[in-house]
Amino acid sequence: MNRVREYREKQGLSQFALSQKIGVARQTINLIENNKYNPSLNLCISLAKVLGTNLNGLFWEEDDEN
Amino acid sequence: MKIKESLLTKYMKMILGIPGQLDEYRKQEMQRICNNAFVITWLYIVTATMFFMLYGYLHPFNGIMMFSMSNVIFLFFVSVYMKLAARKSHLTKEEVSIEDYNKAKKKILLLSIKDFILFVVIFNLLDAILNFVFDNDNILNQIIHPKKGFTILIFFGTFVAIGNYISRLHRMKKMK
Repeated sequence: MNRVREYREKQGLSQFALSQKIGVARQTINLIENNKYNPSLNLCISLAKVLGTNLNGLFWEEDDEN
Repeated sequence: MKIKESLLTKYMKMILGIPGQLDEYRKQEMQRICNNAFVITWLYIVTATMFFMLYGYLHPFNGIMMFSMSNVIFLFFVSVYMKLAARKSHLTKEEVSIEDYNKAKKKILLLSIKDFILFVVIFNLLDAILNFVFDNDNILNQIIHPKKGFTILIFFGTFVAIGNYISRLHRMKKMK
């Protein structure tokens, strides 16, 4: 599971507001949050920048580090 | 993140009824649907051509008529598949913010007026060409003074434009 929803809620953004900031459709954000779509690296970087974090924070699962 | 649209992409969007800008998910889904439709069409073309080549050898007139009819029926089913698949992938909805809603409404009104003009021009031209082919009428004269008059074209053009306006309005969703 990624942590896009968690970071988005921390920033107080709705799915629509986040999608407007990045320039994608709201459905795309919804699919990413529900792990139904694997975004491209460019989109992941944009998401991390807008949510004020990095790729590890957003997409790296802690179990995988061990 | 917005993707530059080529003419072919714009055409695909028009067939599938995808409003607004494409993002990477929408583009990927659109290409998947179009690829599926292409493979189905390819299989149909190979099978139908083989069949009607053999059948047309024995009954040429029936072969041509049946081939054209089966093409129309096939096109209908492929179009239905594409529309349903686009709807299932949530490609047909356009979400606009409350601030941009009036602007978006004006935009779809302008698009519907464009549809009306295109309908009248294309069908007037088509009618003129048909009259030229079947009745040997003067093509330029038919464009300026169509046999059936402009009233019927304007009536159906308005019908199409209103239909498109309602359908686009229905696809638009106001977001906070």
